[in-house]
Amino acid sequence: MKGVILHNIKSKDVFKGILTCLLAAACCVSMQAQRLVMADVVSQQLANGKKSKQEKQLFCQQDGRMVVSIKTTEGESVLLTDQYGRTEAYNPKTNTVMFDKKGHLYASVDEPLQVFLQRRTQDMGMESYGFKLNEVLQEDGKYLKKIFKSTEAASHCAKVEIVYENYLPVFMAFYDRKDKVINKIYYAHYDFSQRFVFPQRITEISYMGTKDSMIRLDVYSNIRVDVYDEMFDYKVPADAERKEMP
Amino acid sequence: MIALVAMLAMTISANAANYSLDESAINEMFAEATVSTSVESQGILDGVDGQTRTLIAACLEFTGLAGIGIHRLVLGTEPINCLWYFITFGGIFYIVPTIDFIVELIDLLTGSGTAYLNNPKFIMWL
Repeated sequence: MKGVILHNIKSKDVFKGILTCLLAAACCVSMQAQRLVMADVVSQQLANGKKSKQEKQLFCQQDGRMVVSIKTTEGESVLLTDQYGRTEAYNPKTNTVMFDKKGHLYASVDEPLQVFLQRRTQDMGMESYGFKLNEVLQEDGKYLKKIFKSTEAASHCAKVEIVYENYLPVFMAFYDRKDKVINKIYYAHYDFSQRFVFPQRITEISYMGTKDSMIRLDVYSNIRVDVYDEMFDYKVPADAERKEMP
Repeated sequence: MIALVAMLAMTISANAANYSLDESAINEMFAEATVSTSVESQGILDGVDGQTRTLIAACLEFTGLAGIGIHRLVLGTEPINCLWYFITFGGIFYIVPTIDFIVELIDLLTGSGTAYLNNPKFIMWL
Protein backbone atom coordinates (compact mmCIF):
# COMPACT_ATOMS: atom_id res chain seq x y z
CA MET A 1 0.00 0.00 0.00
CA LYS A 2 2.69 2.45 1.01
CA GLY A 3 4.55 1.50 -2.08
CA VAL A 4 1.51 2.33 -4.25
CA ILE A 5 1.05 5.74 -2.56
CA LEU A 6 4.74 6.59 -2.98
CA HIS A 7 4.54 5.60 -6.66
CA ASN A 8 1.53 7.90 -7.23
CA ILE A 9 3.16 10.87 -5.48
CA LYS A 10 6.35 10.38 -7.45
CA SER A 11 4.44 10.37 -10.75
CA LYS A 12 2.63 13.60 -9.88
CA ASP A 13 5.87 15.25 -8.83
CA VAL A 14 7.53 14.20 -12.03
CA PHE A 15 4.62 15.52 -14.04
CA LYS A 16 4.70 18.86 -12.21
CA GLY A 17 8.43 19.06 -12.66
CA ILE A 18 8.15 18.50 -16.40
CA LEU A 19 5.34 21.04 -16.67
CA THR A 20 7.39 23.60 -14.73
CA CYS A 21 10.40 23.05 -17.00
CA LEU A 22 8.25 23.47 -20.10
CA LEU A 23 6.77 26.71 -18.79
CA ALA A 24 10.22 28.02 -17.89
CA ALA A 25 11.51 27.14 -21.35
CA ALA A 26 8.54 28.88 -22.95
CA CYS A 27 9.26 32.01 -20.90
CA CYS A 28 12.90 32.00 -21.98
CA VAL A 29 11.93 31.67 -25.63
CA SER A 30 9.40 34.49 -25.42
CA MET A 31 11.93 36.78 -23.72
CA GLN A 32 14.33 36.24 -26.60
CA ALA A 33 11.60 36.44 -29.24
CA GLN A 34 12.21 38.68 -32.23
CA ARG A 35 11.70 42.34 -31.31
CA LEU A 36 10.10 44.52 -33.92
CA VAL A 37 10.04 48.30 -34.03
CA MET A 38 8.45 50.51 -36.64
CA ALA A 39 8.33 54.28 -36.84
CA ASP A 40 7.40 57.16 -39.08
CA VAL A 41 10.27 59.52 -39.81
CA VAL A 42 10.33 62.98 -41.33
CA SER A 43 13.88 63.70 -42.43
CA GLN A 44 14.90 67.18 -43.47
CA GLN A 45 18.20 68.49 -44.75
CA LEU A 46 19.26 72.11 -44.86
CA ALA A 47 22.24 73.47 -46.73
CA ASN A 48 22.93 77.04 -47.78
CA GLY A 49 19.38 78.18 -47.22
CA LYS A 50 17.86 75.33 -49.24
CA LYS A 51 15.99 72.46 -47.67
CA SER A 52 14.78 69.07 -48.76
CA LYS A 53 12.35 66.77 -47.02
CA GLN A 54 11.78 63.06 -47.04
CA GLU A 55 9.08 61.04 -45.35
CA LYS A 56 9.73 57.42 -44.63
CA GLN A 57 8.63 54.49 -42.55
CA LEU A 58 11.15 52.24 -40.86
CA PHE A 59 10.60 48.61 -40.02
CA CYS A 60 13.47 47.29 -37.89
CA GLN A 61 14.04 43.80 -36.56
CA GLN A 62 16.44 42.93 -33.80
CA ASP A 63 18.39 40.54 -36.05
CA GLY A 64 19.50 43.56 -38.08
CA ARG A 65 17.07 43.33 -40.98
CA MET A 66 15.51 46.66 -41.88
CA VAL A 67 12.95 47.77 -44.43
CA VAL A 68 12.56 51.46 -45.27
CA SER A 69 9.56 52.70 -47.21
CA ILE A 70 10.37 56.10 -48.69
CA LYS A 71 7.86 58.48 -50.21
CA THR A 72 9.31 60.48 -53.08
CA THR A 73 7.83 62.83 -55.65
CA GLU A 74 7.91 59.95 -58.11
CA GLY A 75 6.06 57.57 -55.82
CA GLU A 76 7.33 55.11 -53.26
CA SER A 77 10.69 53.36 -53.02
CA VAL A 78 11.57 50.51 -50.73
CA LEU A 79 15.02 49.99 -49.26
CA LEU A 80 15.98 46.67 -47.72
CA THR A 81 19.20 46.17 -45.83
CA ASP A 82 20.79 44.20 -43.05
CA GLN A 83 23.56 44.74 -40.53
CA TYR A 84 26.19 43.71 -43.10
CA GLY A 85 25.06 46.38 -45.56
CA ARG A 86 23.61 44.04 -48.16
CA THR A 87 21.24 46.63 -49.54
CA GLU A 88 18.53 46.58 -52.17
CA ALA A 89 16.69 49.69 -53.35
CA TYR A 90 13.47 48.78 -55.14
CA ASN A 91 11.32 51.07 -57.26
CA PRO A 92 7.84 49.50 -57.59
CA LYS A 93 6.92 51.93 -60.38
CA THR A 94 9.64 50.71 -62.73
CA ASN A 95 9.99 47.28 -61.11
CA THR A 96 13.76 47.75 -60.88
CA VAL A 97 16.02 47.01 -57.96
CA MET A 98 19.53 48.35 -57.38
CA PHE A 99 21.57 46.22 -55.05
CA ASP A 100 24.82 46.59 -53.16
CA LYS A 101 26.32 43.29 -52.13
CA LYS A 102 29.58 44.72 -50.82
CA GLY A 103 27.93 46.64 -48.02
CA HIS A 104 29.88 49.83 -48.64
CA LEU A 105 26.99 52.23 -48.83
CA TYR A 106 24.40 51.68 -46.15
CA ALA A 107 23.72 49.14 -43.41
CA SER A 108 20.96 48.86 -40.86
CA VAL A 109 23.46 49.60 -38.10
CA ASP A 110 23.74 53.11 -39.58
CA GLU A 111 20.13 53.76 -38.55
CA PRO A 112 19.75 55.04 -34.95
CA LEU A 113 16.48 53.15 -34.47
CA GLN A 114 18.34 49.91 -35.16
CA VAL A 115 21.21 50.87 -32.84
CA PHE A 116 18.81 51.41 -29.95
CA LEU A 117 16.79 48.28 -30.79
CA GLN A 118 19.94 46.18 -30.66
CA ARG A 119 20.93 47.87 -27.39
CA ARG A 120 24.23 49.11 -28.79
CA THR A 121 24.07 52.46 -27.02
CA GLN A 122 27.19 51.66 -24.99
CA ASP A 123 29.22 52.56 -28.08
CA MET A 124 26.49 53.54 -30.59
CA GLY A 125 27.90 50.92 -32.92
CA MET A 126 31.32 52.60 -33.11
CA GLU A 127 33.23 49.39 -32.42
CA SER A 128 31.79 47.86 -35.57
CA TYR A 129 33.25 50.84 -37.48
CA GLY A 130 36.74 50.14 -36.15
CA PHE A 131 36.76 52.44 -33.12
CA LYS A 132 38.03 51.42 -29.71
CA LEU A 133 37.15 52.92 -26.35
CA ASN A 134 40.07 55.07 -25.26
CA GLU A 135 38.86 57.08 -22.28
CA VAL A 136 35.85 57.60 -20.02
CA LEU A 137 35.32 60.94 -18.28
CA GLN A 138 32.76 62.48 -15.99
CA GLU A 139 31.69 66.07 -16.62
CA ASP A 140 29.88 68.35 -14.19
CA GLY A 141 28.76 65.30 -12.24
CA LYS A 142 26.00 64.98 -14.79
CA TYR A 143 27.50 63.79 -18.04
CA LEU A 144 29.52 60.72 -18.87
CA LYS A 145 31.80 61.13 -21.86
CA LYS A 146 33.30 58.21 -23.75
CA ILE A 147 36.11 58.82 -26.21
CA PHE A 148 36.72 56.35 -29.00
CA LYS A 149 39.78 56.36 -31.23
CA SER A 150 39.96 54.87 -34.70
CA THR A 151 42.07 51.76 -35.16
CA GLU A 152 42.28 52.28 -38.92
CA ALA A 153 45.14 54.53 -40.03
CA ALA A 154 43.40 55.48 -43.29
CA SER A 155 40.14 56.49 -41.64
CA HIS A 156 39.20 60.13 -42.16
CA CYS A 157 37.49 60.19 -38.78
CA ALA A 158 40.07 59.74 -36.04
CA LYS A 159 38.04 60.25 -32.87
CA VAL A 160 34.45 59.98 -31.69
CA GLU A 161 33.03 61.37 -28.46
CA ILE A 162 29.75 60.11 -27.03
CA VAL A 163 28.17 61.99 -24.15
CA TYR A 164 25.57 60.35 -21.92
CA GLU A 165 23.10 61.91 -19.53
CA ASN A 166 21.35 59.47 -17.18
CA TYR A 167 22.98 56.68 -19.21
CA LEU A 168 21.28 57.82 -22.41
CA PRO A 169 23.30 59.22 -25.33
CA VAL A 170 22.58 62.92 -25.84
CA PHE A 171 25.51 63.99 -28.01
CA MET A 172 28.08 62.61 -30.43
CA ALA A 173 30.98 64.39 -32.07
CA PHE A 174 33.26 63.16 -34.83
CA TYR A 175 36.78 64.58 -35.29
CA ASP A 176 39.25 64.32 -38.15
CA ARG A 177 42.97 63.61 -37.83
CA LYS A 178 43.63 67.29 -37.14
CA ASP A 179 41.20 67.15 -34.21
CA LYS A 180 38.77 69.33 -36.12
CA VAL A 181 35.11 68.54 -35.61
CA ILE A 182 33.47 67.20 -38.75
CA ASN A 183 30.10 66.10 -37.42
CA LYS A 184 27.90 66.62 -34.38
CA ILE A 185 24.74 64.69 -33.51
CA TYR A 186 22.25 65.69 -30.82
CA TYR A 187 19.72 63.22 -29.40
CA ALA A 188 16.64 64.67 -27.67
CA HIS A 189 12.99 64.05 -26.76
CA TYR A 190 13.47 60.58 -25.37
CA ASP A 191 10.26 58.56 -25.29
CA PHE A 192 9.88 56.48 -22.12
CA SER A 193 6.26 55.46 -22.63
CA GLN A 194 7.01 52.05 -24.10
CA ARG A 195 9.46 49.26 -23.37
CA PHE A 196 11.67 50.82 -26.02
CA VAL A 197 13.53 54.00 -25.08
CA PHE A 198 14.45 56.11 -28.08
CA PRO A 199 15.18 59.78 -28.88
CA GLN A 200 12.46 61.10 -31.15
CA ARG A 201 14.48 64.06 -32.39
CA ILE A 202 17.96 63.65 -33.84
CA THR A 203 19.81 66.65 -35.22
CA GLU A 204 23.02 66.25 -37.14
CA ILE A 205 25.31 69.10 -38.13
CA SER A 206 27.94 68.31 -40.71
CA TYR A 207 30.90 70.68 -41.12
CA MET A 208 32.29 69.05 -44.22
CA GLY A 209 30.73 71.45 -46.69
CA THR A 210 32.87 73.85 -48.72
CA LYS A 211 31.15 77.01 -47.51
CA ASP A 212 28.29 76.19 -45.18
CA SER A 213 27.48 73.47 -42.74
CA MET A 214 24.70 71.03 -43.48
CA ILE A 215 21.97 70.32 -40.96
CA ARG A 216 19.90 67.18 -40.96
CA LEU A 217 16.87 66.83 -38.71
CA ASP A 218 15.13 63.49 -38.19
CA VAL A 219 11.87 63.50 -36.24
CA TYR A 220 10.46 60.12 -35.31
CA SER A 221 6.82 59.52 -34.46
CA ASN A 222 4.23 56.79 -34.17
CA ILE A 223 6.80 54.35 -32.76
CA ARG A 224 5.27 50.91 -32.32
CA VAL A 225 7.05 48.06 -30.58
CA ASP A 226 6.41 44.38 -31.26
CA VAL A 227 3.46 45.17 -33.49
CA TYR A 228 3.58 43.09 -36.65
CA ASP A 229 3.22 44.64 -40.08
CA GLU A 230 3.58 42.82 -43.39
CA MET A 231 6.30 45.29 -44.36
CA PHE A 232 8.65 43.52 -41.95
CA ASP A 233 8.63 40.58 -44.34
CA TYR A 234 8.79 42.68 -47.50
CA LYS A 235 10.51 40.95 -50.41
CA VAL A 236 11.51 42.35 -53.77
CA PRO A 237 9.48 40.70 -56.55
CA ALA A 238 11.39 37.95 -58.27
CA ASP A 239 10.75 39.45 -61.71
CA ALA A 240 12.24 42.86 -60.83
CA GLU A 241 15.03 44.05 -63.11
CA ARG A 242 18.27 43.92 -61.15
CA LYS A 243 21.08 46.46 -61.44
CA GLU A 244 24.20 46.35 -59.31
CA MET A 245 25.46 49.46 -57.55
CA PRO A 246 29.04 50.42 -58.60
CA MET B 1 20.73 85.52 -45.07
CA ILE B 2 24.34 84.44 -44.55
CA ALA B 3 24.59 86.71 -41.50
CA LEU B 4 21.40 85.20 -40.06
CA VAL B 5 22.71 81.68 -40.58
CA ALA B 6 26.03 82.62 -38.99
CA MET B 7 24.26 84.17 -36.00
CA LEU B 8 22.07 81.13 -35.56
CA ALA B 9 25.11 78.89 -35.93
CA MET B 10 26.81 80.78 -33.12
CA THR B 11 23.70 80.34 -31.00
CA ILE B 12 23.81 76.64 -31.70
CA SER B 13 27.50 76.35 -30.87
CA ALA B 14 27.06 78.34 -27.63
CA ASN B 15 24.98 75.49 -26.28
CA ALA B 16 27.43 72.82 -27.39
CA ALA B 17 29.05 72.67 -23.99
CA ASN B 18 25.68 71.67 -22.57
CA TYR B 19 25.33 69.06 -25.31
CA SER B 20 21.93 70.35 -26.30
CA LEU B 21 20.67 72.45 -29.15
CA ASP B 22 18.46 75.48 -29.36
CA GLU B 23 15.65 73.64 -31.10
CA SER B 24 13.61 76.74 -31.80
CA ALA B 25 16.59 78.19 -33.69
CA ILE B 26 16.88 75.03 -35.77
CA ASN B 27 13.15 75.00 -36.48
CA GLU B 28 13.35 78.65 -37.52
CA MET B 29 16.19 77.93 -39.93
CA PHE B 30 14.20 75.18 -41.58
CA ALA B 31 11.07 77.32 -41.72
CA GLU B 32 12.92 80.17 -43.43
CA ALA B 33 14.75 77.98 -45.94
CA THR B 34 13.39 77.61 -49.44
CA VAL B 35 12.53 74.19 -50.75
CA SER B 36 15.17 72.69 -53.00
CA THR B 37 13.74 71.53 -56.30
CA SER B 38 15.19 69.42 -59.04
CA VAL B 39 16.57 71.75 -61.69
CA GLU B 40 16.15 69.16 -64.40
CA SER B 41 12.53 68.47 -63.58
CA GLN B 42 11.70 72.12 -64.15
CA GLY B 43 13.03 71.81 -67.67
CA ILE B 44 15.45 74.69 -67.12
CA LEU B 45 18.27 72.77 -68.75
CA ASP B 46 16.29 71.61 -71.75
CA GLY B 47 18.34 72.40 -74.81
CA VAL B 48 21.43 73.39 -72.80
CA ASP B 49 24.62 71.89 -74.19
CA GLY B 50 26.66 69.35 -72.23
CA GLN B 51 29.63 71.59 -71.42
CA THR B 52 27.37 74.23 -69.89
CA ARG B 53 25.59 71.60 -67.82
CA THR B 54 28.94 70.35 -66.49
CA LEU B 55 29.91 73.93 -65.65
CA ILE B 56 26.61 74.51 -63.83
CA ALA B 57 27.06 71.23 -61.93
CA ALA B 58 30.57 72.27 -60.85
CA CYS B 59 29.25 75.63 -59.64
CA LEU B 60 26.47 73.91 -57.70
CA GLU B 61 29.15 72.11 -55.69
CA PHE B 62 29.86 75.42 -53.94
CA THR B 63 26.28 75.86 -52.83
CA GLY B 64 26.17 72.85 -50.54
CA LEU B 65 23.45 71.25 -52.65
CA ALA B 66 26.01 68.70 -53.76
CA GLY B 67 25.33 66.92 -50.48
CA ILE B 68 21.94 65.87 -51.80
CA GLY B 69 23.16 65.12 -55.32
CA ILE B 70 21.54 68.07 -57.12
CA HIS B 71 24.66 68.50 -59.27
CA ARG B 72 24.17 64.93 -60.51
CA LEU B 73 20.63 65.69 -61.60
CA VAL B 74 21.99 68.60 -63.63
CA LEU B 75 24.44 66.25 -65.32
CA GLY B 76 21.73 63.66 -65.79
CA THR B 77 21.53 60.55 -63.67
CA GLU B 78 19.14 58.13 -61.99
CA PRO B 79 17.10 60.10 -59.41
CA ILE B 80 17.76 57.37 -56.84
CA ASN B 81 21.38 58.53 -56.71
CA CYS B 82 20.12 61.60 -54.84
CA LEU B 83 18.80 59.18 -52.23
CA TRP B 84 22.24 57.62 -51.91
CA TYR B 85 23.81 61.09 -51.43
CA PHE B 86 21.14 61.85 -48.83
CA ILE B 87 21.38 58.71 -46.73
CA THR B 88 25.19 58.57 -46.81
CA PHE B 89 25.32 61.98 -45.14
CA GLY B 90 26.10 64.02 -48.22
CA GLY B 91 27.76 61.39 -50.35
CA ILE B 92 29.84 59.56 -47.73
CA PHE B 93 30.48 62.64 -45.62
CA TYR B 94 30.96 64.88 -48.68
CA ILE B 95 33.87 62.85 -50.04
CA VAL B 96 32.02 61.87 -53.23
CA PRO B 97 30.83 65.44 -54.08
CA THR B 98 34.35 66.76 -53.50
CA ILE B 99 35.83 64.29 -55.96
CA ASP B 100 32.88 64.91 -58.32
CA PHE B 101 33.87 68.57 -58.44
CA ILE B 102 37.53 67.79 -59.15
CA VAL B 103 36.77 65.41 -62.02
CA GLU B 104 34.22 67.85 -63.48
CA LEU B 105 36.84 70.59 -63.43
CA ILE B 106 39.44 68.35 -65.06
CA ASP B 107 36.92 67.36 -67.73
CA LEU B 108 36.08 70.99 -68.47
CA LEU B 109 39.73 72.04 -68.67
CA THR B 110 41.24 69.11 -70.52
CA GLY B 111 38.39 67.21 -72.08
CA SER B 112 35.11 67.75 -73.84
CA GLY B 113 33.26 68.70 -70.68
CA THR B 114 30.69 66.00 -71.37
CA ALA B 115 32.35 62.92 -69.89
CA TYR B 116 30.02 62.66 -66.93
CA LEU B 117 26.70 63.44 -68.58
CA ASN B 118 23.84 60.98 -68.08
CA ASN B 119 25.96 58.68 -65.90
CA PRO B 120 23.66 56.34 -63.97
CA LYS B 121 26.25 55.34 -61.37
CA PHE B 122 26.33 56.73 -57.83
CA ILE B 123 30.09 57.17 -58.11
CA MET B 124 30.35 58.54 -61.61
CA TRP B 125 34.13 58.59 -61.83
CA LEU B 126 34.59 54.87 -61.20
